[in-house]
Amino acid sequence: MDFDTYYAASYDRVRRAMTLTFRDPDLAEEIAQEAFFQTLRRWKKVSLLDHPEGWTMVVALNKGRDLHRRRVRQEAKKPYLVPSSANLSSESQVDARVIVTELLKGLGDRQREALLLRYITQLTIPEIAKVMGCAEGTVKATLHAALAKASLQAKETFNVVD
Amino acid sequence: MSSTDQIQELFDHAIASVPSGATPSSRALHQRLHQRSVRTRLSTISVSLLVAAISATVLFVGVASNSTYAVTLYPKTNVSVSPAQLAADQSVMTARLHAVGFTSATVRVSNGSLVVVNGPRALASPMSFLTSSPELLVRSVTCFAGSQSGPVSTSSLPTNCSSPRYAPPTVTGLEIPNTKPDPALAAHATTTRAQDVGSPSNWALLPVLDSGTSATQRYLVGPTLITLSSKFASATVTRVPSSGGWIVNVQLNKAESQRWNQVAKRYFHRLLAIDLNGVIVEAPLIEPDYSTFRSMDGQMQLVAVSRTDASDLAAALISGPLAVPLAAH
Repeated sequence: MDFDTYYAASYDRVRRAMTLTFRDPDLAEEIAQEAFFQTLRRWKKVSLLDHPEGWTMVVALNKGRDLHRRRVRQEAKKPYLVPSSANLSSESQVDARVIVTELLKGLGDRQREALLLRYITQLTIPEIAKVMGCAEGTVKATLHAALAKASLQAKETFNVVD
Repeated sequence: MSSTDQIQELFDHAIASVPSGATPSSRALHQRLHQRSVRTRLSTISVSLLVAAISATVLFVGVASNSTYAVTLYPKTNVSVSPAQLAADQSVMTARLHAVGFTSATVRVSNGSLVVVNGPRALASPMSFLTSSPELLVRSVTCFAGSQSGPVSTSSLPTNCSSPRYAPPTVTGLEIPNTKPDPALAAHATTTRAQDVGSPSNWALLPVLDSGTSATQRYLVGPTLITLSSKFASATVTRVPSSGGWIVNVQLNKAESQRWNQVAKRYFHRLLAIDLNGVIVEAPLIEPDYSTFRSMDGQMQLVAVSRTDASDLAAALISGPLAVPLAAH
């Protein structure tokens, strides 16, 4: 696979994941560009990986963290820019986005990484372990803790009573 | 539906809710990479050139400074020299060479001589202050004399001026009368360095060291009043901006300071000559602007023609005399 093909297939997904994570479409665009530039620089090595997108996603998250911290220091925290309803296909998608963004906001760096790799990049547990450079058990524990928070978050967001 | 599927569906919905945007062309990334690699290449070339330049400079300076230069100094005496005297000279020479900045110079005793490695090349010069024991002879100035002219007189030097108007005046105030040279001294030859050093109690006709003028000025000077030759307390070199010359500011040790004070007091408001190796290096008029004598505080100024001479003289004065004078041949 050449880089351009990979870029065309993965760019939008990485950008969307960053939008959800950092709640700023402009910042997400910048992060995605930077992450794919780093991917291009190391394409000879990255192209040999089983899941290049996992590598790009992790680079994007790390880069995003730095950029996000810098922006937070520079300006007041921006509210998530809700797109016009014309761009939304359903109300359930808006709810889902609110849950996911709130969830990602409350997670630690490693938990966020694991969730994105699992549910956006669609990697398996062994693949996530490889990308994150840790044991499969660690990935499972990280995901479990993240999902527990997600469940709690969903209940709090929608006032669900057990 | 399992909880994993529910979470997956949640994320799918969330991702789908983010408005899609046009994927920028990857060409921009390729261009950026190209620019970066060009910049990196240029930086690498610049750094390589810089490193090469620095290496060449270091190599050149290293080779230049590491070129070993050795000179053998022999005792300048007809009598035999003891090992203790040579060892003393070795110590003094080492101190002098370090004082003039040759910190890597080494001095070792070898077959009754001293071998100096990595010292200054001027060390081989017979005029070098570094290989001598400078003695400052303080003499009174008897008459002014111009340069030698006409047939050389074979008669002995007079001890007085041919007329009192050629004698240096006693001065009070800063206006120093312009005294003309005694024409009766024109025929007399200048006292040589050997004559001066060998007979310090005789009258001498000595040249005045003056880097500012080409005309030779000489003074007829009386017998040596004091000889300052032991280790000086300090000696520093300064440049005189007005004349472009160099001065060694000397601080005498306590004992010699007292002797210098006694002579200066005796010659209050009069001219004294400081004779170094047969040349008058300073002729101070003693405190013309004071009505009563004040202590000289052991201070004295000596003129040098070059910075090297000044530094060498200062090093020789503060390191003390050699046990036996040295010469390069």
